[in-house]
Amino acid sequence: MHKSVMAERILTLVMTPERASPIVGDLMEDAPVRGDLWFWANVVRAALAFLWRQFTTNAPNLTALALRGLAFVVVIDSIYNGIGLPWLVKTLFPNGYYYPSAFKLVAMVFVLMAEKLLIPFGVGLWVARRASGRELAACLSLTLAAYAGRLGFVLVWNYCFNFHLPVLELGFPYFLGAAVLAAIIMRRRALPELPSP
Amino acid sequence: MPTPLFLGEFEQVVLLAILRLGDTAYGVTIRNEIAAQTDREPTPGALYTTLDRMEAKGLITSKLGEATPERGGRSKRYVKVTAKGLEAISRAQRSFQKLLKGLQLPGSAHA
Repeated sequence: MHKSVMAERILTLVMTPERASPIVGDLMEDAPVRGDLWFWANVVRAALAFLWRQFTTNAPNLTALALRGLAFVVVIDSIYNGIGLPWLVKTLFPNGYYYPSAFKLVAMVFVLMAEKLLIPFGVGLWVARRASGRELAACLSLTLAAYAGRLGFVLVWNYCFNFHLPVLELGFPYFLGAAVLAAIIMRRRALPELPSP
Repeated sequence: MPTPLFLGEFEQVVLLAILRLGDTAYGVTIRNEIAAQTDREPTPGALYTTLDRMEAKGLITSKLGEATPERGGRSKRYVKVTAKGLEAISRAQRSFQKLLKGLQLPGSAHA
């Protein structure tokens, strides 16, 4: 894929194609003199600048949407952990956890990954659909809300009970990745096919 | 009476650069003009978000121009200062002139 097309795809995640095309053209005009590193650095910086602008100009709406998404995550997560996961474990390991087969171990990894990936992906799609033109900002807001919520829960839990949950956990990159993927998919669906230059 | 629109420092710099360039003002020329006149080169990200914000405020308008091969076949977005933008920059500059009146700054002709 030509670098200008790739750059345009990155920029259209946070702006309309009509905005992105002249910006890529401007950067292309300077790229022969300044080099590829300058070109890509400024594509990313422009995308981040527009993403930040989406956050600052739509903060109340994005916060409200992220909190609604967080409520969904909590409800689905509770159902999954309270009913779905015990049922799946009982089905996969009817005789307990000892000496499971390789197949069952792989199945268990998939079951655990489903929670880390499918829930944020599904809720990410739901949030992105409600934030037309600001899909990425909405899904990043959801991720921030989810981890702010988790941090609050962990701090309260650790304060109230003599059992210390880790403040940071490995689920964050999974949640972030799944939510960003959902935003990209929804953004691509909302955009018309980019014309070839 | 509508509240007057106050401009940030960078918005003023960009508006003045657009006014200086006239009909040839677009991303690359604006950045070059700012670099030439102020010895500071704005990042494209900062410039484009400022242009976007000023267009949303009605200070500038834009239209697509010609596409050239060195731009990968992509059009230029030419920008123009509106009457509202002209009024805002005039008011901001008048305020500066008033504040400068009577001051003797190093390297400045104001007195």
